[in-house]
Amino acid sequence: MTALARRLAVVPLVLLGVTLVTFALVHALPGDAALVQAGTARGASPESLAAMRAEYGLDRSWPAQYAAWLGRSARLDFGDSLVDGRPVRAKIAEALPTSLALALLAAALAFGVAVPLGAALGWLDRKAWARATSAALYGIYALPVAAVALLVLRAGAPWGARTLVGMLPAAGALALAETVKLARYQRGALLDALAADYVTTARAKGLGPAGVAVHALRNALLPTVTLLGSELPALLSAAVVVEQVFGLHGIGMMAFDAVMTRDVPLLLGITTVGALVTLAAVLAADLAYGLVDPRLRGRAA
Amino acid sequence: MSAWRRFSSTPGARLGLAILAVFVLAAALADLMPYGPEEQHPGGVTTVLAPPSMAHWLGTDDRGRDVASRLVHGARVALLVGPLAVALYVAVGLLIGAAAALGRRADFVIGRLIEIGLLFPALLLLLAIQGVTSRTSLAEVAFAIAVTQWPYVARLTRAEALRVAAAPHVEAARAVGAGRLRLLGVHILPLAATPAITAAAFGIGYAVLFETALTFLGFGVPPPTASWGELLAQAQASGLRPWLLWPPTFAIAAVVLACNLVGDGVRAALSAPLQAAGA
Repeated sequence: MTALARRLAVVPLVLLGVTLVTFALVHALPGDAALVQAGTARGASPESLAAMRAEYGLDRSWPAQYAAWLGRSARLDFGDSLVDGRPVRAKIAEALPTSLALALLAAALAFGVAVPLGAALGWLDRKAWARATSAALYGIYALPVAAVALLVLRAGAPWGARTLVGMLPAAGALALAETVKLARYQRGALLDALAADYVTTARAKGLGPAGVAVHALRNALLPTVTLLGSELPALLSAAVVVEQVFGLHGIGMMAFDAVMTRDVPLLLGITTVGALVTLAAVLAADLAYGLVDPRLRGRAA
Repeated sequence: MSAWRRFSSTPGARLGLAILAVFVLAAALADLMPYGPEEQHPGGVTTVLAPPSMAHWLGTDDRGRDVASRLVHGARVALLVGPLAVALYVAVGLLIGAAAALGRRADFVIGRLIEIGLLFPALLLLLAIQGVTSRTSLAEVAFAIAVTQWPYVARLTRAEALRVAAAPHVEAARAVGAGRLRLLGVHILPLAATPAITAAAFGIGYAVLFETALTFLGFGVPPPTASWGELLAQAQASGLRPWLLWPPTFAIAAVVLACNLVGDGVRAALSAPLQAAGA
């Protein structure tokens, strides 16, 4: 698996880049955690602000702060939250299951609905209603995630439950745009596959419609599988909006709060873990690609 | 077949242009609406959260402002932020992506740069950037969107630039002594720009969606400026009244759909001659 090894070698480089950008950005924020916290108790003296900054290490230059952070985080210690003093690792561990459940549920919904739907629309492309459905999907794809989430909420979906079933409405709202995108992809891939030479050959040799469908679908799964992996950053972004609407305390809302309170250690921890999760998903999609297409096994993706 | 013929023979491309034209017209003539977008209780009568009526076609919001006026004025924000953001990130993505054709080392650096950019959950980065610029304006929202979107254009352009760089006409130009920058600017970039131009057409729709999400979360164009994301936030804050929820939803979907339809047309207009030439 040389391709996998080469991809894994890039991981530290990418993590370094992502955290460096975040660090520089957060440092450029006007005000800092000391000011934000003092803001809740107005009239903090300059002395107490300085003491607070010294305590958090905010008085040092940002490259120095970054170097210190890097040393600690290599040991998986992301420091303590500047807002409530709890370890960042514990806070993320609390919020991550909610976000992962939401994202995985949404991905499962999107994939589970999109593959059969897209394949059916591709297979039945000659029928007028299938074409009309494809066109209608384009309209749904244009809906903003915030509006979808609000509409689901308005439809009176039971929500807020901490169970997987209770999360279904939120996951559905998150999955809708992705489902349409994947279904359109799947439809196009099946149409391409059906027009390919090997399908013509199989037909000429007497393969029935069912056989042709299976034959073409297997190859048409390829682009959809990789797309799912590369769509995870978009899914995580949309999750911030969905978590806000449904009041879920996931990573997205935590990142939102971290920006508002200038909680640097928490924000850095979240971006690092977020990048790791995304990298893992992209790698998993690459591996799945290899499983579906034997030609690609062991080759650079 | 001319590019325009290929464009207009794509299903929906002309419909997309027509929809966009309607919204551009509405944005341009927004000041003709009977009420100002930030005017509270116009006419001196208290009309908070009133359903649609003859006086207020789309009802009023929780501060008694006319929803129809705010919707039409919101088109200005969407139609300014979208194209501005796209122009910014397509230019940056084009330059960075094409620079990969300068050599192996440049390609390695740019390849990693793109990978880092693609991995960043866009909204997280947007939140951070919006925090940086405390006083948000249209330009800053566009800038924030551009920062998260350039890697996609750069990735497309890089692949195309590397392909074009191996073409015979580039080799010929190099043989007669063209320098690296001249090769890049004259012989590679114009040909490698095709995917980026297609992405730009679709990109305006994405940018509108991003702006909506940002403003909805409270990080975009600040209130009381009327924007579609802010209208959605108002709908959430006011018990999901249908006349507050549906108009922005419909407006955003119409603009995004129109951009996607136009994007399909642009793709058809640009890709066909290359295929005909046996590329």
